[in-house]
Amino acid sequence: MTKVRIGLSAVTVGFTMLFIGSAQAQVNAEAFREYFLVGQFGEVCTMCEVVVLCEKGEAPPTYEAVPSTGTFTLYHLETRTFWSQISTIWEFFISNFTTDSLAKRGHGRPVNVYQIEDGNWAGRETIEGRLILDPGVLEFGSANIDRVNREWLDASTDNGLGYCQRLPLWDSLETIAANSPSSE
Amino acid sequence: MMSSVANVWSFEWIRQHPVKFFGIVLHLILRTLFAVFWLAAGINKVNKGWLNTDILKNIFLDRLNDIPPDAFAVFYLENFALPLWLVVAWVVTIGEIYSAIGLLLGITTRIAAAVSLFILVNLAIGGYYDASLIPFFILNFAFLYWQSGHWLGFDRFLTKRYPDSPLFK
Repeated sequence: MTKVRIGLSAVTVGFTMLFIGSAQAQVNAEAFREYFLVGQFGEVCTMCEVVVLCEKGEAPPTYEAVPSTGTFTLYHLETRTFWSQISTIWEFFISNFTTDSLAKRGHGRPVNVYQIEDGNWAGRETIEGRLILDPGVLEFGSANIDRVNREWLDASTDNGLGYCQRLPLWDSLETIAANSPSSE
Repeated sequence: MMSSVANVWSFEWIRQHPVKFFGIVLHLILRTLFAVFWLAAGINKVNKGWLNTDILKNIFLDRLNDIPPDAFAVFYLENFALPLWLVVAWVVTIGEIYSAIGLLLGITTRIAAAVSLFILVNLAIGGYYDASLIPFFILNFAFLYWQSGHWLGFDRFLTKRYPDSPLFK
């Protein structure tokens, strides 16, 4: 009987600690809520894709679709890779206790880059992009995007190249498929 | 399948079945980790207001924008999950917490695993699938197949007391 009581006490203490720990361990994404590509439920999800348009200018563009003319760069963020998806188990678990390291480390995913010059599409280049929350930056090879003000920056000099916007996904993917030379 | 109430913790049994004993210990460690994961997920949902706000409805609406328009998940979300979002919120939240407690304490272990599997299947159908679900499915089938509550957990004692009850099998 004593053993049973000790066992039940241990279970009770364990559960209490777990509940307290979990309650303190809420993901606090408030600081990042307004960041570029951060949705109301947090960072770009593992199986989600995003299309971003960046171009020269003094303010973020406001296109409703991929423009048929002009000079700009498209970034197509693909879903996370298989092992990157598997690693989300650990990320989710850790996020119950601390989010600092995850926000600093960010996550990587394949990004297809399309250069469009005066409406002419160059071939696709695939790079390993990195989405970081602390500091808020999207690292896309030779260029970065400031997630606070959407400024497009040269990765090596930090000089401003322009600004970026998110485009509607499915229509943009159709346009990419129709125009990208590599998909012909 | 191993004899349901064999005393796997006796030195004699361990000495005779070292590989099986290793498997049992590994199974129990994974069961515990799985349960802690589910518990944290369930508690997070309670704290985020799944049971008393429309957060899940907004999650579903948000998800509709991210999945291909012709995917089965769109049909599932529009015709099942969205109309019944509050029921789904309660089933998922309470289901996760129940599964966690069942697996953690080894009480109604296999039913807890079945509930867990049900939630996972619905997550996958609802468009929340990715490779991270694969280990969860594998573990869930392992928890369903073996009577691990008889190795460690309340099922061990309850099945002796209620031998005809399917709850503790």
